[in-house]
Amino acid sequence: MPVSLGYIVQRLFLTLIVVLGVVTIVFIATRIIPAHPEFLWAGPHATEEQLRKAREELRLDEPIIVQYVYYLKSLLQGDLGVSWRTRNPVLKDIISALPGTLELAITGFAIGIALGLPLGLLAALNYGGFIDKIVRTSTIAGSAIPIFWAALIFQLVLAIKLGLLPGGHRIDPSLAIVTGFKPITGFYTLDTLLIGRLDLFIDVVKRLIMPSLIVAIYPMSLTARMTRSLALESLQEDFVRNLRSWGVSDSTIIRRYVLKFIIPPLVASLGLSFGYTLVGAFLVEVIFAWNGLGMYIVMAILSYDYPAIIGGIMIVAIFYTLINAFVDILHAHIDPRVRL
Amino acid sequence: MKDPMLVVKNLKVSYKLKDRVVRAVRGVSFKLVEGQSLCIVGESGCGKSTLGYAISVSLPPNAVIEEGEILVNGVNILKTDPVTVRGKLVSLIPQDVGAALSPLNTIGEVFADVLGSIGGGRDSSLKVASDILKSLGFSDPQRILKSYPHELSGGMLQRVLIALAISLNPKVIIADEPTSMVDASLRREVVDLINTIRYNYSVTTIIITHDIAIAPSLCDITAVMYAGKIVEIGPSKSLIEKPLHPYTKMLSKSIPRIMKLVELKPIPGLPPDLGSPIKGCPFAPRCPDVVGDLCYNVEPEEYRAGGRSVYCHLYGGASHDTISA
Repeated sequence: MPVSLGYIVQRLFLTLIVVLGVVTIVFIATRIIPAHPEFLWAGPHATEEQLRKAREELRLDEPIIVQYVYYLKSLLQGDLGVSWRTRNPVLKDIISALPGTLELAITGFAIGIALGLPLGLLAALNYGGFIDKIVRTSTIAGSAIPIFWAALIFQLVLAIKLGLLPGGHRIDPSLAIVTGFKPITGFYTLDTLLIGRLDLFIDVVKRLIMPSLIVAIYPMSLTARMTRSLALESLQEDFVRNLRSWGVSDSTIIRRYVLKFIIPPLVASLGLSFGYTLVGAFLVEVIFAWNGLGMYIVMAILSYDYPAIIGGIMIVAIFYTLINAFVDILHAHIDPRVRL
Repeated sequence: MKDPMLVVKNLKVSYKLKDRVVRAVRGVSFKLVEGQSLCIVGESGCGKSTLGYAISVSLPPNAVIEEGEILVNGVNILKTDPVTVRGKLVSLIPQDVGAALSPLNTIGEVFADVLGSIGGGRDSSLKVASDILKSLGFSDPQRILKSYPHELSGGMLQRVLIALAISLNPKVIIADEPTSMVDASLRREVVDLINTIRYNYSVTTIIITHDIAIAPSLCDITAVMYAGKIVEIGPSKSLIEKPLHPYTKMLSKSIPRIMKLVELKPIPGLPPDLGSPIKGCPFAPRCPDVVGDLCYNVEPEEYRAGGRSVYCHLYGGASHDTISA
């Protein structure tokens, strides 16, 4: 039985309310910080008159509520405003920055799950043994280490001291200029393949390895720890012993029964942690000069670029809530008991 | 007499816990021929379930078989790859109907994996499964195979579990408390069903129960276990009508009877702690007929009488000379 349409509509409506709430809070927060963004808009060495005009253009002298209504009005038309820093439409900036973040976060997340799941199973099957101890210790360390610190250490050791991997950028800047590389989808691994430049592809992949491994630390630790405890729990279930006593092999039991128990709760908490992974990717972006949404928002905050801040954070909120809604719907789809 | 189908020889099983070792089964021996059935009766913690798991090769990982042999059809299953034993030589009818199957898998998936373990595709497995279910009285096996466990009643689940246990034609089936988790109204049905499969498949059955009352209707032979050992074993009817061991006597007095108004007599005291060594007869501290120092110091040996074996000093087990030793 598929999940009902009403449930999906209800979840999406909730998503809308959350996003509106986020926009409101960020809007108020940007307006009440004591800052003078008109200096940025008017440019350096602006006269009093030019600054006054800038304030007028940006509606900075109107009451917050009026500014808010104007913002919502244009938001309803799909207009996120113009970035005060780049002078591009915010939506256009975000669309060009988002693939960088997604490429990093998705790769990191996928690596994390791909490593964490077998590690957790291995630990559960060797409960109390040497492998279990190693997995337990390293995953606790993995979820406790601050991402920016790990990023700095990786960069220092792997890039600067050992010179194994490039220390930053999504693509070799000089190579990009020489070859006239222009992003198509914004996912550089895909783009370099699309234009058939294997040398560029290898460069892009090499640059992706280190930052995505750092982004992977948290989801990997979480996946491994959750998989371990969920597997331990379900391996003690009566039905596991029964299946064994009826002649079903251990590998079949794990593949077709235990994993079914592990995956729904794992998907639920991994869905929640994708938000955390995105934030982690933002920090990694800043350290690795990675052209993504994180860099964009950080630059926006540093230059009081209100439309860019609100727009960027709104996109993150939309992503976050949509993923959660998707996880809930998926959970209902996987677990037949949830549908009852 | 026929060759024995199941031989258990001096089996000792213990559990390794963090700080101590619990000796759950402390030397159990018996023999059963093909199609014969044995009831193992005893209080909780007497080792009867451990014995059942040992025979069905499904002991938990912290359990250790310290000594002994289990021969099924002449094969020592403790020295054989468990994959060739489980389900094929020995199978288990589990206890808790509600937790016995994974709630996330359909009955059909379980059958496909059980029957698939001896090869054969999914479709042929499901065909076989549907035949087995039909033989156990399901009128619409296809619907059962598509169902999840929570969609079936307790009685139906019990039958499904029996079907799963016999699906690979095992020589020996162990039923762990088959009547303890079903409604009283279904007990009769379960008892009949186990008897049916026993006759139809001429499979040797072991029924583990704390309910000595069902023993005569279900099994040829009854063994009474106490503190990890068999204290009395013999034909069910005579054992229950004329118990010899004081523990068996007291167990049968604790059965509630519907037709007769008899005072129920619970057995005072608790079984010994299997985590510490036991000296003498383990039942001595609770025994009304205890024979002084002898029972407290010397473990009783086997005493045979009319097809029955009893381990009790009342029947002249050990000689008095051994007391000083």
